Amino acid sequence: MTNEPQAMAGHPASEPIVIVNDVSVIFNIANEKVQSLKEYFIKIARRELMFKEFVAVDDVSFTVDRGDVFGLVGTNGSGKSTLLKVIAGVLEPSKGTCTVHGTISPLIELGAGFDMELTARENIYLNGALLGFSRRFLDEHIDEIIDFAELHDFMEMPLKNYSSGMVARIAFAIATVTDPDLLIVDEVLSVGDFLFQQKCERRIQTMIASGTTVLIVSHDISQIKRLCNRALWIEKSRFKMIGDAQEVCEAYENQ
Amino acid sequence: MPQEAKAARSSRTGGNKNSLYLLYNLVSKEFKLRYRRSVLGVVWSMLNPLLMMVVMVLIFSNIFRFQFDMYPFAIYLILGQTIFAIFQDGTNGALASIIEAAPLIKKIHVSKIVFPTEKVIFAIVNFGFSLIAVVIVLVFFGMLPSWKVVLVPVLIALLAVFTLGVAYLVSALSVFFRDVIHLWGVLMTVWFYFTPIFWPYDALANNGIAWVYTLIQFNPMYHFVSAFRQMVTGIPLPTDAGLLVELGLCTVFAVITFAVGLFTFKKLEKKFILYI
Repeated sequence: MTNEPQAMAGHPASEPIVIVNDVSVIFNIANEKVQSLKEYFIKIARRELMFKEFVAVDDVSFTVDRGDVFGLVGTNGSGKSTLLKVIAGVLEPSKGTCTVHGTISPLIELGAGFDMELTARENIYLNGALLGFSRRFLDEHIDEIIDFAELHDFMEMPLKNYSSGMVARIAFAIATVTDPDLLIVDEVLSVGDFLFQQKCERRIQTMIASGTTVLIVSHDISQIKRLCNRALWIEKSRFKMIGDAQEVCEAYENQ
Repeated sequence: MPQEAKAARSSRTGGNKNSLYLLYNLVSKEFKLRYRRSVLGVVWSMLNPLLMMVVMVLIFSNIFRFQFDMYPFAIYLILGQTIFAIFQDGTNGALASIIEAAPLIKKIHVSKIVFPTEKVIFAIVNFGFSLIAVVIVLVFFGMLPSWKVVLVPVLIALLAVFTLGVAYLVSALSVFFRDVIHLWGVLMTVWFYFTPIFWPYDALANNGIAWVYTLIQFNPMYHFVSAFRQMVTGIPLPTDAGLLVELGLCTVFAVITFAVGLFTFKKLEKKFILYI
């Protein structure tokens, strides 16, 4: 927070954009499964409500600097996505704080913000509104989005007739139409054909060049190596290693 | 979470102006989906209450022979029905709105309150279309609305506030207990029957069930329904309080319910993501 004036004075490289400070996320598993009043009262009577805890993220701290391309690696269920949710502001950490300076653009999971019955064009407006874009902005950029997705002939077709790759193209095109301060990419690049994957990577490269910080979660280690300069490895909810992307990836692969 | 982060985020995803645009988009989506592939389309919003009214008139004035001689029974019915539909459709729609929006809420930092709000707005827009049915019935019976009809927007605004309060409450509670969804269906039926929509209110007093008569005074929907009828027809029933009294009562009900609903929603919304 105190770094911001300095950054203005010309140290953009060292300015942290994401500060994750001692963040823990604890789920109450027993509580989570209770979805009816009857169960609730039974559990209260048995005093089961407070006990079963699951620590999804355990006391993790790190910072991401402006301009970084930051990779998150770890095996399934290690807490990567939970951490990403905390950064995206969707989930409140149970302990610690998470501060983000600037605008965030999340690459939404396939179809999450889409309604399959609506046409692609209608979905672009709906999804754009969900991401916080104004009508004027969307009117101005609709052609750009369609161009990028390369789906000119299918704009008036309901999304249910689209293949998952085509849906991914539109999702990517909408999320990257602005230059946000922070772009969050969660396994989205694995869909779509290789040509589109390359195109997405090029788009991310241009965004990086124009100052966007990128946060990538992927199981494709070669992709992390190729795109990222720094990486964080978390294992079984705990911080394992942070540093240069090449080194972290190698350590992760040779564990 | 520190203030700074919140401010930065709200500029991106929760700015007031863009929230309105999001609401507009969600309402228009709802309309598109509801009437896609139907021949008559949005005409159904008007046709539905009209057909319901015809059925109810046939049943209640011809078979049960309800005594009602202030003005045509059909007008009494359709006025009660259309305004009650705002409350009914609004809360029914809002009920599972958070659960249905789960894929979004899990991924994007989006203001959660827009989802139940959208359902209530949709119910009000739908009410706008059903007013055409009301006009048709008025024309059919050759009845002119009274000048008091200018107060209808005030009443609808109050009803919207009241419905929003209930919508926030039930949508938040149903996230934690899915029972609420089932319970609300039953409760809504009870509420419908305990509001003088298809039966005249004074029938209760004359039937000797005075305690129900008193009880219904505490039903907010009774006051909304009877105020709406008074405003359109200009003819108060013997049991009606004055219009200003009714409006006052409606305001009190609306403000209290809205405050309780909003408070509960805001209190619980941070935990939504753990339960959806």
